[in-house]
Amino acid sequence: MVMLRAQGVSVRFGGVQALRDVTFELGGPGIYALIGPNGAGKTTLFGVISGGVRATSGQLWFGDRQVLGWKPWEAARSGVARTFQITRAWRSLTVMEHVELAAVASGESRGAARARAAELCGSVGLSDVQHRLARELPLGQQRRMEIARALALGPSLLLLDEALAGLTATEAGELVQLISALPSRDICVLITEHVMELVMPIAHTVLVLDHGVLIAVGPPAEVARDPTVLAAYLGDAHVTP
Amino acid sequence: MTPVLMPGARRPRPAVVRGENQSSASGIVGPVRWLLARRNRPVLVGLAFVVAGLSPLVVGGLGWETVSFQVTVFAATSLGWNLLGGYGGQISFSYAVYFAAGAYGAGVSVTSFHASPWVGIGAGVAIACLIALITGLPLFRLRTHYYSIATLAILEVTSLVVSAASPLGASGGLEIPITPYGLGSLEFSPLNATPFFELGLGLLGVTLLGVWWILRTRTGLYLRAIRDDPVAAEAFGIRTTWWKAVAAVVSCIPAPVAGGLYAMAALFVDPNTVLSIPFSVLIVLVAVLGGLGTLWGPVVGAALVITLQQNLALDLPGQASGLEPVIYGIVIILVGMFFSQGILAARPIVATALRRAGARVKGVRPW
Ligand SMILES: Nc1ncnc2c1ncn2[C@@H]1O[C@H](COP(=O)(O)OP(=O)(O)OP(=O)(O)O)[C@@H](O)[C@H]1O
Ligand SMILES: [Mg+2]
Repeated sequence: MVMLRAQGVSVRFGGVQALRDVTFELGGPGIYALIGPNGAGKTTLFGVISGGVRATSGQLWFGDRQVLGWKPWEAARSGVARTFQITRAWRSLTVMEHVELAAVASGESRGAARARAAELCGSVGLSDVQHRLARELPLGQQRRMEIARALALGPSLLLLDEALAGLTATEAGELVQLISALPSRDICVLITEHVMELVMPIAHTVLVLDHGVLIAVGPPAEVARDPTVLAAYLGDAHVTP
Repeated sequence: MTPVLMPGARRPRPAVVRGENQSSASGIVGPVRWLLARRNRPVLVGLAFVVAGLSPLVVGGLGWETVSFQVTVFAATSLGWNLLGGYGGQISFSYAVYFAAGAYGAGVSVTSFHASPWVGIGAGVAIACLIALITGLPLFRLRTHYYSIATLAILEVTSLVVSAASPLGASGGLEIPITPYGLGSLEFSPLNATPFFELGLGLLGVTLLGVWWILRTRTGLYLRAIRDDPVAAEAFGIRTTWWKAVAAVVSCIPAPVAGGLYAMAALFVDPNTVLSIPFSVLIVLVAVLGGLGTLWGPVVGAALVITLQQNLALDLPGQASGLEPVIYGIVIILVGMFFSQGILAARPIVATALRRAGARVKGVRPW
């Protein structure tokens, strides 16, 4: 069954056409990379999928439900979890409380949520700092907190917005390993990234956005050779020798 | 050889031995330390309430009890306010309206229906909850500062309506007639303020317990998240409008009860007092000065602000009595300057100072 299907989705912010007639589908558990240069519309597409950003036209199915225009909380409760490009930690909550909140919000009891939060903090390597305020942690740990928090919702679709940005090579490597294990837990991961080299090895499908237009979809090796993609990344001057 | 202590180095603490073979000094230290431990906090609080409840036997006096009663009334109202304002981040000025609902409810049930004021207080609670709900649901869609302004408008409208309503005594106020004394009629000898003080203390205790419990449930967690970042809260399944409305309804409950007691203690209620902007600001001020979003903040704030305000009114000699608002204002500015996060935020500083000063008191932690 198709997990997510977008049909002709367009988004306009005043004079900016952030997404133009975007059509694609995510089949099921797996890792999908959404790449594209700055301002391509990646975060906007995440906003449409997880609610919160209004599409000007198009259709969006999650499973067999038409969901375009749903509210963020509806998306969260239906199994769509996300992280934020600029991390959004709650100022007065500890790491543990962040994860616990998501677990409670997904319907677990307080006790069960606490146990699960502790387990998830462990699985992203935050056990040592789980009682610290999340805001006080370095970026790498805040990003891992965001992943633990998203996983606590028990999502079937996980949207990771530049989850690797600003991390050291070691941190990024660890996180890539963690992410690549998620499909085996029946989770479909859609991850945005600037640096193709980081996600290419783990992605089974790559979607390329440029100026709001989906210019290529396919296996990493194919997309990496696609002349339109190369042009988008390197500039038109490099296409014609 | 005695170890040389570097300046600032910790003195090694003598191990406190539990049991009978202690000197009389450490015989006190043991229980005190047990009482001050964080996990025994409920026992300490319970004890404090028992001591406060018995205090009229010792300190007595009409003036003292009247002021203490006012402290409990404002502390309870502000504790409710703090749940929505301090923890939920929604600054409301309409708690005076909820307060008035109970005050007028109690008054009208006596004057118009010859019923017990408790009936009116119950009705006041219901009305306050209803107002909180029907104003909250549309208003919480507004950004926070627009919400605050809208609550001011609600206060003004209510004040206008009440000032024109003759069954409520209009702008002149509602005088509550004297009826036989008793707990049911909420009237007692005017020479004895103890019953109202005890009732106020009871209300404060129940409110504290209620707020403490709510903060432990998921509601407390959600409210903090909504205050800190509502967008992220929504992204994790929290319907912010709904939870803010829940908080608004629950947090208004102490206000009408406090208002009912307040009106019965004065046997009078008028819109120029309870439905005025200064009155509604006072409810907010008490929580802000004590410490926004802290359990004890409103209690500390009420104790400070109300005691100061009332004692200034009572104690200043004739000529100086005009200075009352000036002194009151200066103190509030000073608190704002030096404790910008509320008095309770200074706790760690005070604790460190006490610990340094009292290092000789064998490791008793003040907090
Ligand atoms: N709320 C908004 N209001 C107006 N314009 C917006 C808004 N959000 C995004 N845009 C614009 O829409 C376009 C797409 O932005 P978006 O953030 O989706 O890009 P992105 O691919 O995530 O970029 P980056 O790699 O920098 O994160 C940009 O031109 C941006 O300026
Ligand atoms: Mg982006």
